[in-house]
Amino acid sequence: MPNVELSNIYHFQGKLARCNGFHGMGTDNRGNRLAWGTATTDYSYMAGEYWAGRRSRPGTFAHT
Amino acid sequence: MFKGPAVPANQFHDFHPPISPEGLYWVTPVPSTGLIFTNNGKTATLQMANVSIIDQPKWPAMDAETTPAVMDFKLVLHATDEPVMYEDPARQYRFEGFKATAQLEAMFRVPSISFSFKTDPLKTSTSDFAVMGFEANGKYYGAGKS
Repeated sequence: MPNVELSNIYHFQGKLARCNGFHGMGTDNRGNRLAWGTATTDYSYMAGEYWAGRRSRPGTFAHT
Repeated sequence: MFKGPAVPANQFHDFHPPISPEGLYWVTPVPSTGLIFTNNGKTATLQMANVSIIDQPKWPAMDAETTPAVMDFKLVLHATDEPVMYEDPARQYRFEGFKATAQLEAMFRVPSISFSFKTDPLKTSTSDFAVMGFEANGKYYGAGKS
């Protein structure tokens, strides 16, 4: 998802990573082999400062 | 998660965070030990356990049923040397960083239906897109580089 807003938090500054389009395989508790992931399977972190309740706050958040 | 080819018709689980009591959408607080960087800052590991999520197979349908679930996951990102910058003054955001690689391993549990799923090890996963860097948006956008 290039050239779009990557943060899930507005009024934020800090470290950020975002990734999507995961592909993989796994196994359920019944032994079935299953595919996981789509183009919109996305994860991110946001670690820094955000503004809420009329003040800045430190915080680290993830989108999973 | 799919039975058969990874197309919407075959999806039978979709795991994500619920809307939080604070009203934040799909954002999970990370504990202080959950996000670790290497000394050079080029590798990040985001790892959390027992994260409360929901299983919503028919998302984004408005009436999509939700079931409480839990996940453990480990996400590892490695920055490359290829710089990237996304900026939109009209939308007040700027991201500066590097393209990256990302790999994920996770385990999902849906207790009410006695279902669990464990991905194959981290090294077997791939992602189509990943970036790492710094963002400034909203009121911080005009304050210069973060």
